[in-house]
Amino acid sequence: MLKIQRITDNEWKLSGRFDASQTEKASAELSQLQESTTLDLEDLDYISSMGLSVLVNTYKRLNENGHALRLSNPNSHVRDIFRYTRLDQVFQIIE
Amino acid sequence: MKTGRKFKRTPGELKAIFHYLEEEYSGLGLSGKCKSEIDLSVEEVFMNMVRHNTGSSHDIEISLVKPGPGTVAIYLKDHEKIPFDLTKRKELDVDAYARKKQPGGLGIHLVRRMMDEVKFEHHNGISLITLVKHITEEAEC
Repeated sequence: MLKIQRITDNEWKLSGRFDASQTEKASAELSQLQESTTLDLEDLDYISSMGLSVLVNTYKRLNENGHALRLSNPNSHVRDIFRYTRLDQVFQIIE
Repeated sequence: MKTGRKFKRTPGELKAIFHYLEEEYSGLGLSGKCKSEIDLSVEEVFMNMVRHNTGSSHDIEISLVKPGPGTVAIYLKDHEKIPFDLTKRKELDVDAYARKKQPGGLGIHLVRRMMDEVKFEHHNGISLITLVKHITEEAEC
């Protein structure tokens, strides 16, 4: 189960498992982002390609409006997924 | 082949699939990073079947076995009239994907990256995808 928490206006936290069953809920919640935002991934255990697509779409939407989407503290497995898909070259990932 | 467990063709079944896989991992003594890689590969193939084989209403059968001391094999079986051989799908240009940020193709790319072998067979209206993962120190199983 994926949990999405708003910490501040510009900092949100994702925790749990971001699989295909969570994409509708995640898309709806992340559509609230209107400014540059950092997503804390420290407690995100798992992400699949459908989860990546939601993050990429959010990135594109913010980027088109002159804003950034940054990711912070992914665990080694999640970091590998970004590396295998070269999305670590797209997102700014803060360790 | 070992009889697997059947799952309805909906993303809502993923929770039950992961639970089933976790039970199997315990039985086979698997741990660590390779469990996440198998979870992810099973999700990607399962969702590929759900999204692309829309003409079927049959359940999808999944099983996991350890055919030898250094190998885990995962089988996904689906009723499919027109076979879709994902092993023949063109390699994703991940650099182009990252540049254009167009969705599609990432899942199969991840499966190929995480599994040591991906095989496809189709007999009598049934497609069988076999994922093989070698248990090594590097794979952190």
